[in-house]
Amino acid sequence: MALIEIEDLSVTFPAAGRKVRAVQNVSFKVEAQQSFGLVGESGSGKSTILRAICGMAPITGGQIRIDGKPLPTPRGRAFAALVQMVFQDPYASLHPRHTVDRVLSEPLAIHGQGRGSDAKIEQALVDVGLPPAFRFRYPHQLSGGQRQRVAIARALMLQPQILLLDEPTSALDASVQAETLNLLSRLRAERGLTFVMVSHDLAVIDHMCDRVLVMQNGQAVEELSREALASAAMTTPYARALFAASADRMLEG
Amino acid sequence: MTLLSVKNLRVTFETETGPVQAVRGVSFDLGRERLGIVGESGSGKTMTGRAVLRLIRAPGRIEADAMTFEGQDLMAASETDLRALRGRRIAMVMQDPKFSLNPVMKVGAQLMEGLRQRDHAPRAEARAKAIAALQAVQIRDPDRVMEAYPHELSGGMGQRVMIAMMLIPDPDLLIADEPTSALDVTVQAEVLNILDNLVTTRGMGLIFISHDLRLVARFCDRVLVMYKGKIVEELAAKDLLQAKHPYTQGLLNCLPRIGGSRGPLPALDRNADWAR
Repeated sequence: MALIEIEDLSVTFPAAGRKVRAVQNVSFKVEAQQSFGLVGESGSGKSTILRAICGMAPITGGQIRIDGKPLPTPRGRAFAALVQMVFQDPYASLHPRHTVDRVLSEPLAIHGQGRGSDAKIEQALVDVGLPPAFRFRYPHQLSGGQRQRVAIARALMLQPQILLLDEPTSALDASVQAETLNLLSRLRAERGLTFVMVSHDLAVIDHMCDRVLVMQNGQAVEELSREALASAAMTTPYARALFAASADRMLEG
Repeated sequence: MTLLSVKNLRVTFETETGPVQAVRGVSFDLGRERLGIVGESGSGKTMTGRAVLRLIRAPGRIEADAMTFEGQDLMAASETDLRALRGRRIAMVMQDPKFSLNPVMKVGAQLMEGLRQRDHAPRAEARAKAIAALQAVQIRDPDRVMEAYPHELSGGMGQRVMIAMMLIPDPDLLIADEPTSALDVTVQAEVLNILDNLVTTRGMGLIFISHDLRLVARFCDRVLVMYKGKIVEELAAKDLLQAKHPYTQGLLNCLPRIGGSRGPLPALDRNADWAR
């Protein structure tokens, strides 16, 4: 049985006088410890799917099951301990007036795991490759890559099984992107994590994911394995166009 | 013909721990061509672009042996001279439409502001020019966009609005600071096409600042690679993928590739020798 099952999911936002159907009847499955990619342009609904999983978008149809169980609404603490999200913009996703220490200790406090939090926080920083001395810094005292490492450390504080990654490196430089992707790959291997990763960069998706779903205008266009992506074996015109627009990201330089 | 000539440009900031040089001796000449400046954050590429317009506030300090725009000495120019140049002759497109457009002013009003204030254009004429500028950047329903606030536009639309705004006075030189890094690949291609057209049809010079090497290789004529405030390599864009300098090679190698190995991506080796 797949760890994450999304069946016929629809998300509709009420807008002035009309309805915006951000996600329309999308289905996919992610096996445990797999890495699944969602790719498409802005507005294609890929981030909305992640938000729907977290209960942050109005689901109007279909079902999301994790471990075979439908998710409760509101999502609750058990969900937070199982699924965590890393957002796109490390400049916006960390509270500007909270120290790293406070950012990392908050999930522990909420979940009643505050005992021994000093050691846990220092270990969490070391795990994402930051010196423990960074504990008492504010976000503005960190670079973009360091902030994203803090965001990843925060997501991992409760030892979740599933990480939802919303464009985790698109705000970063190429060299920092490489370091962050390496960190995510290492953490996934060490902890047996399951990833659902959103990106508009096919090369990043190809590097990180076993399977990828191409989306357009809220609809699933085509699901591809990594092999099919690399050998350009897509069958729909849109997936092909997206692949062609990424032609400068192929293996040969 | 040389449009802009920069000799030994230095930008220094005074900090509590002593002066920090963000740009350290940059020299280049620009004709009516597309010049790319690439480098990581903090390499001084944005500061180089801003220094050309002398858009660096105290305590930042700009020094150069020479900086001339069509024969006019930019270093000796007064604030009044610079105001006449900025926007009208040399325009700059900033990175992020979310922070560079006025959030509480309609797009149309922002587009018309320069025409009304600077050129004293009548309202109807300013409006017609603003709509034409939006059409030039392939915005399909310019009337709706004119009445929209920036938050009602997508990132790609916002970016195109900023480009349209900069192009209204028909500048000779456009400095574009990461104009496409917030955009999807497909929208990115559209925006680049627009810029490309403007360079070829209007004979405009373009300084294209970006951290995306592959994009610059595809789009520009010539590329300067910057590291810690210095130009470490200058080469024709078509040769970028055969770059000699280890820093440029490192920047290229750390990019994931479709069909590439899934092993760890090579980390950039930041050798202090380059920076000296």
